[in-house]
Amino acid sequence: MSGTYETLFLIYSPYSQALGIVVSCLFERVKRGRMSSPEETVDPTDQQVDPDRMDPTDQQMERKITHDEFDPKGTLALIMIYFLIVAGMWAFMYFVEFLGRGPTVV
Amino acid sequence: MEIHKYEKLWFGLALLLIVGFIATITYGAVGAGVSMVSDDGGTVDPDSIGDHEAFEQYSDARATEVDDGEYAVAVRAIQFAFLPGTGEPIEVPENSEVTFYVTSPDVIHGMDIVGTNVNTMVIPGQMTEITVEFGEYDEREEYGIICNEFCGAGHEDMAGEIHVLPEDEWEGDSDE
Repeated sequence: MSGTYETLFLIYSPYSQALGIVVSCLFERVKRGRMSSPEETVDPTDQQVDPDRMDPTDQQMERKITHDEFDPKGTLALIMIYFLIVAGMWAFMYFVEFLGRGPTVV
Repeated sequence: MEIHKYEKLWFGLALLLIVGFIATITYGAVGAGVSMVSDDGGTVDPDSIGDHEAFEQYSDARATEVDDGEYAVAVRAIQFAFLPGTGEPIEVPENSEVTFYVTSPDVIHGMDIVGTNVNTMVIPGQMTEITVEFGEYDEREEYGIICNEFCGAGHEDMAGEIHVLPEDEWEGDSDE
């Protein structure tokens, strides 16, 4: 019954990928929420924020970087994972499913 | 224009993938010898298929030997059966090359040996010629054939079988 497992794999792999993306988006959102939450808790009547009262880590984080200094490592990792999935699925589909099964057209 | 090093990287990978796709297909055609179904079979009058030389010579369900290790079977795909194939299974010996001559007197059908790359359209007026290499008997002995072009109300029942016989059984049968 290996065919059943293959079918299940083919059906569920896109869903599991989509689930992974959704989960990572939610994770990212929660992380961002945590980082920005101190700003939100500032008293609304206190409109002018004195630089001396700002969190020193916030002041340090603000710096400009050049084009080449920005390395989207997460995007690179995601693209690498997709690349491996596409390359692996292609090899499986072509060499195992297409060429490797029983009688073949010559 | 300044292009980020990561962008250059995945641009290169995308190109590599395309080159890889083309390379594997080239390998399939040149190395593994998989060929496309062509129009080499020529045309046939759909009203008198039986008069075609392939059907005069190879219409047995048991593949007819044409040369050493080479066999032929002529199959008529009708609504909704393969003749032979559906009522009596097509029989071929192991380690052989079998050429199927397939055509239809009524509508367009398909002939697909399930789970393999043997797959062709069957068109009225056209003789489809497809050569298939069968391997060792112990790999598998029975293959299903299905019609994969919608051909009418009974399309889903249009199926048949190919039986691969081991060398000794094939020889034994021919002595009868």
